[in-house]
Amino acid sequence: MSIEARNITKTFGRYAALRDVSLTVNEGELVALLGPSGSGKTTLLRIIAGLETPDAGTGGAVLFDGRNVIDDRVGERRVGFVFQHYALFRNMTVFENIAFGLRVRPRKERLPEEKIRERVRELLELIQLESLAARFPSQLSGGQRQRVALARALAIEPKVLLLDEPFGALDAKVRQGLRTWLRKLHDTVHMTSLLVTHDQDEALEVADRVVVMNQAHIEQVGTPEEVFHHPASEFVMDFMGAVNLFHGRIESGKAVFGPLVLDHAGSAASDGQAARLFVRPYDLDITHRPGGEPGICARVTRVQAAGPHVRVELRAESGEAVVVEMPHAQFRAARVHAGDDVYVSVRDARIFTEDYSI
Amino acid sequence: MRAYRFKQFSVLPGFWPAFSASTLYLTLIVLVPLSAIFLRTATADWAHLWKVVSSPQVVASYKLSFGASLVAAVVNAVFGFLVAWVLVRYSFPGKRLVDSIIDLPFALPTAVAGIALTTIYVDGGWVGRVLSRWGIHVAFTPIGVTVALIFVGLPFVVRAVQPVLAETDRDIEEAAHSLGATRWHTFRRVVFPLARPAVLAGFAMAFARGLGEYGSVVFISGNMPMKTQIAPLLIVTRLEQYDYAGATAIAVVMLLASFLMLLVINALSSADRGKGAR
Amino acid sequence: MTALGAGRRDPAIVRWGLTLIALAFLALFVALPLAAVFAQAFDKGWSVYLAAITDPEALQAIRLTLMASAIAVISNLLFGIAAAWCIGKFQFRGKSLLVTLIDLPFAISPVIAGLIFVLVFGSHGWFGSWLTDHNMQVIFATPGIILATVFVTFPFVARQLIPLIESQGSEEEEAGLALGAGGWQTFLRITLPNIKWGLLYGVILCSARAMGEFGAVSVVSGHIRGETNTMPLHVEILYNEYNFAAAFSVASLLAILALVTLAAKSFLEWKVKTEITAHAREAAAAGGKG
Repeated sequence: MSIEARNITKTFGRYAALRDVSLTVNEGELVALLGPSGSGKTTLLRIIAGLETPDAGTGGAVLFDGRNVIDDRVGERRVGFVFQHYALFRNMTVFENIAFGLRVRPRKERLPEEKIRERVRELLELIQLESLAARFPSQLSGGQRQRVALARALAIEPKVLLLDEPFGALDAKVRQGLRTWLRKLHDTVHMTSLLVTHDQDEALEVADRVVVMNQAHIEQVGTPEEVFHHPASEFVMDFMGAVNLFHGRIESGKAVFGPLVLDHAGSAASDGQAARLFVRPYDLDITHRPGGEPGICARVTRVQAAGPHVRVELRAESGEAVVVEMPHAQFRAARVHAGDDVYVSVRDARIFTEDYSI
Repeated sequence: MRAYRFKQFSVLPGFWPAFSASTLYLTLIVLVPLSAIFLRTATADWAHLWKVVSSPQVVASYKLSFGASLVAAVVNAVFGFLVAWVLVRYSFPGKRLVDSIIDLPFALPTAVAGIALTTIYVDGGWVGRVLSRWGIHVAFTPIGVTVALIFVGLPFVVRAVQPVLAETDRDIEEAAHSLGATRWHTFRRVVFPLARPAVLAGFAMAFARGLGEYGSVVFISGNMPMKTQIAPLLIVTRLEQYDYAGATAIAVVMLLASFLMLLVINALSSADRGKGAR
Repeated sequence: MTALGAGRRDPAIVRWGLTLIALAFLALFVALPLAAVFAQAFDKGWSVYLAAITDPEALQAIRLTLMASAIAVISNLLFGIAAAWCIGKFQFRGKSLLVTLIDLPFAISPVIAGLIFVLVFGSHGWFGSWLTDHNMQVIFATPGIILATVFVTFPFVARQLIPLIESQGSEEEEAGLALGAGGWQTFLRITLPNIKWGLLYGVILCSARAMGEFGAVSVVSGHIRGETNTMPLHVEILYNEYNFAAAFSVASLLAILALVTLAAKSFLEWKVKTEITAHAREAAAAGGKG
């Protein structure tokens, strides 16, 4: 089933959570809503679920397979919702939690108890917690609770699955495992899923498509590759990972950042306009001597060689702090030490001017 | 401008039934009857009211009610703090029992407390016997009124101070000690200021409760005009004589005075908290 | 407990000195009155005690007390749940005003609480002549006693439940609704089990106060023996007739009630605390974002 949110606006008091946001999730897709806290992503998810409503009179709509469900109550929408803090029923066992959605149906629609038990057992098998059926939520670990929450949501055979920061509360290792598990689960069930997260690694790893949100609107929608390698805005670039930032301006079709002059042809930016250069730490090279490429003069302030990459911190002549990351082999070849004066050259970068970017 | 909205959206059902039922009940049980007292006053003959309120007997009862409540609240502030201190910081056999008996004045009906206190403090009673030898008479004197009010007000201070003392960080004290402060100095300059808002809050509640207290006081006070009549007792007496206007007048002054006192004390303690925050 | 450790380093003389002063104060003002009630009750022996509490007027007082308390507790319980539901689970304007108004009866002298009902329903009150015309009586009759009792115990249950319901948030209820449960199903199966100990705690405090109320009831009852006397009023009458043994016998029943209340209170406080800390622990386990 496809999901479409159309022209959603939501304000809490004076604070705008969503400003005319529209979004489509195709049948069978797993889409991540990615953004910092306060960007409106959880509100959008809750509006799709029916736990919040868009502002009255703004004409917002939520369509499931083309049918507007905005007036349907949350229980009628048949969505599987997984809460950030699990929201497991404290007074019920794992088994009862999963069976809840089946047992509260009106008598006419309710499965016979034997069928319910069978279904719960299947789900327990799916989440690999058969042995813990009689436990209470307080007796489970965080990862186990999250799996129970997921099974409980799946029990009602929802048409779409909505997950609100499902792994936000877990420690890094458990999170990694559950992420892989969720992706595998999605590949077997193929249920249309929308996942809210503030962790770009999680979004990039799990999702078919990523929706980057910031300050109540959508910045970019695209595949993980697209948003990572071709960020549409400074915000997306910055949010996708650590970057170095240089200030300069446009001069006769070129972007000039001190000694660095980069081609900026084909853009509508006019001369004299301010420009900003974003470079990821691994797109910079360090050499002792100026090579063919123009480079920025900088002094190495600190070298950090523990970890998968070597991280070199420098201070440019112009005073800006610069971070360069490189593989160990390259670092050894470059023979860089703290205190050295070096040249930093740019392999790949993105230039943003006031309104346009390439 | 957005439209005025009374309530934020929530998927949870039942707000309107719950809200209307509870406000209706609140209005019928509390607000309407309580408004009666103020409407009565507004429509009454003010000269008559002033005569009632300024009569020597009523003024004496106000003095006793406020005076005894004040003294009792001060005693409770001091000893309540001490009890809370001992319960939080020291351990001794039977501590849990002592801790739960603190609430006895909340749980024991006031009339029962009243007759029990009277029996103990009359001249021939367990304690009165000893005190009367030194010429101290408690029952049927203002001291007796104060004793009853100490009883009813005690839990307020203890229960207000206890959690604050329990949460006071040991690190702060250790830091003070390490800086060379003496034990007394640390208490006076570091620990007590942290607990002071709670002491004040407990004091205010004990004081307010004392002003209105009736059951535990009427037995021990002896109700002698001009000497040991408290204000609530005068209200009851007026009502027994079907003098509604007189009863209302005395009550309104009491209500206003105690609201005013609470306002002042709240302002004081919030000022105190502000100082602590700086 | 960190504070306990700090206390251990106080010199023994300070420690024991302060403890003794505190205990002496409590003994003088709290333990001694309690002991006096029982000592006086059994002063004249068991037979006098039994006779006092099985006296027809005493039995009538007990019946009236139990009935008035039951009505007060049930109606304040229903109110408390409704008030806690709308205050604890929803955001609306004027919420803090509503909370303040709910606490109002605590700030009012019981005598004044009785007085306001006399002003409304008494023979010279607002509805006095209407009631007389219809041959009904509120003041100096059972309805007045019930109303006064309801008023003074008004905030007890609501006050316990509001912070408890507030602390639990709405996620579990939202989850229930998302799974297709109806409003009542969600309330009965999810909310109610989560607040049951707090509810019981509020009910116990409410009934203890209801049975022991003296000032307010005294004003509206008219002290008609065998008709409008509650237990505390019966105690007062016996005491004023210098029938001390009987007065203390009936008083001892109320004192036993108080002790049961204290025991139940300690137990439930511990239960509610674990209810709240369990929630806090889960929230903590759910991460710093909670």
